[in-house]
Amino acid sequence: MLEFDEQLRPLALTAQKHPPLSKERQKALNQLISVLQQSGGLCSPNRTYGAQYPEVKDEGRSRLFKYICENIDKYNADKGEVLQWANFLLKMRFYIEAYRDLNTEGQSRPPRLSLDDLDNLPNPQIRIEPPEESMSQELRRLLEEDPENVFKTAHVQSHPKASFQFIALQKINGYAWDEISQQLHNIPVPTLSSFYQRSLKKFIPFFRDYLS
Amino acid sequence: MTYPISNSMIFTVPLIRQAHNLAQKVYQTTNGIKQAYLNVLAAYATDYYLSCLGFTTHFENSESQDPIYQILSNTGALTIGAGKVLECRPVLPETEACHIPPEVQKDRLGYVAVALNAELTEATILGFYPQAHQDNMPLSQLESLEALIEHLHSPQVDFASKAKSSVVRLSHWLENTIDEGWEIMNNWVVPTPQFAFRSRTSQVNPAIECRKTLQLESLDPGVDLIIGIHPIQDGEIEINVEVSPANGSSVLPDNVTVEVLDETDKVVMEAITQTTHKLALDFSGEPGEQFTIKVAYGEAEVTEVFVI
Repeated sequence: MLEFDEQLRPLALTAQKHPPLSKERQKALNQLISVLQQSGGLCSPNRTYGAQYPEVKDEGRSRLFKYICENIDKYNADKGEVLQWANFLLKMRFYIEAYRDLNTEGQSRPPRLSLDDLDNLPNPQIRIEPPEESMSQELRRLLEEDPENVFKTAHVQSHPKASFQFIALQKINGYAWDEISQQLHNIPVPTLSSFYQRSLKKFIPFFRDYLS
Repeated sequence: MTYPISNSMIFTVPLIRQAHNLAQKVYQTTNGIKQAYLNVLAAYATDYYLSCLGFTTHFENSESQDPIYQILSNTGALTIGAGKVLECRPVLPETEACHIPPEVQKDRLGYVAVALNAELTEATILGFYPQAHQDNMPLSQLESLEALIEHLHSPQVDFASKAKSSVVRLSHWLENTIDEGWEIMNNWVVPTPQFAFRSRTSQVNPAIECRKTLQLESLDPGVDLIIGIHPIQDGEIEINVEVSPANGSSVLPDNVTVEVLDETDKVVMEAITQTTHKLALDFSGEPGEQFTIKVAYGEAEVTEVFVI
């Protein structure tokens, strides 16, 4: 793996030369990890992990990259190549730790979802237990009732119909910005969305209070 | 996996179980908003990347993990400091543009594009846009991660170093060292509560009140921010905050707000005027704790950062 070391070694040395949090160190570390990842030279966990193999691999590498970034000063260029050091850490430490932690957490933790899983609703692996009223429903009710009359009175300047109440309800209903703009006689989307973004930030503490 | 950009410096983040658990929590509370799941993964990956480089972040208090925000908007916000937010956008396989929803196109330090694989086991940070001027930004216009690091170090963002000179050090006030821009209004002593085991003589503690006039574009002639502090028991310091019109005799208009934010930029206290002549908030904290006070009226706002 010499050709990768030609790239990795100077990056490690550059990182070591600059203080932590300096942009030179950060750029060197970013580049080092990037090359390491694209090299294809990182070892994989033992195949005997069976069904847990992908998770052990991802978990182990997640720990590795963080460790290298935080402990680059521990790399000794005289003792070996960067890739050797990385693989040593994976085999001797991080894959083992990953396997151990994945098996002590208990079975109750739901597994990772894929894009397909997310598309196929409802997903039997995630139990969505509907409480009496979901947060969306509670928010919708609060917006509709508007007990303090604040959501209706907050509106785009000169356009009382373009109220925060109207826009928020339409967003909960799943309408896109251009549809909402059409409903409001074509007030431009940026006008509506920047008003909405600002107002949402102001109203958030009230929502939090109400829902708690 | 190949990406439609030519950039050797990308950064892949394994999406481990912890990432999915965070996403699932928000997904469940929002009753199944798929976009929220993806937004949390994108923010997680960016947070991991920044932590690797040594930056402190506040992912747990970010909008992306707030179900209320995810119900009412499409946000991948990652808070990286007081008033500093990065927007992290998920990019799905086979797409050539990064979608940036209109409602997050302002008030962001930048927009990070995070490519997700179909299995959602890998998130690759492709680059960033300093600004969003359209809903669908072509991936070919992404700036590199090297540029992102430069951006985070630029004076306007100043993410790497806390701007120490502009943080007001309250404990120093008790030794009569007052920060620039502040003037002493009062100093006096308060007796400490007596504890039998401490001493037989009554102790007194210094107390001091200082004022700074803040300029708000929409409010003439500005407001006075008055901070009074004195130590109370157990090493804590009591802090009294008052906001009143700079011209002593008039009344503050309606809808002047004052907020106290903690170190993670979360609002912990607030008050708003309804024809009162001043606003007051009281709280206590320990030396070393940092907080921010934000005074706002209409579009204008001004903040002061304090460390106790």
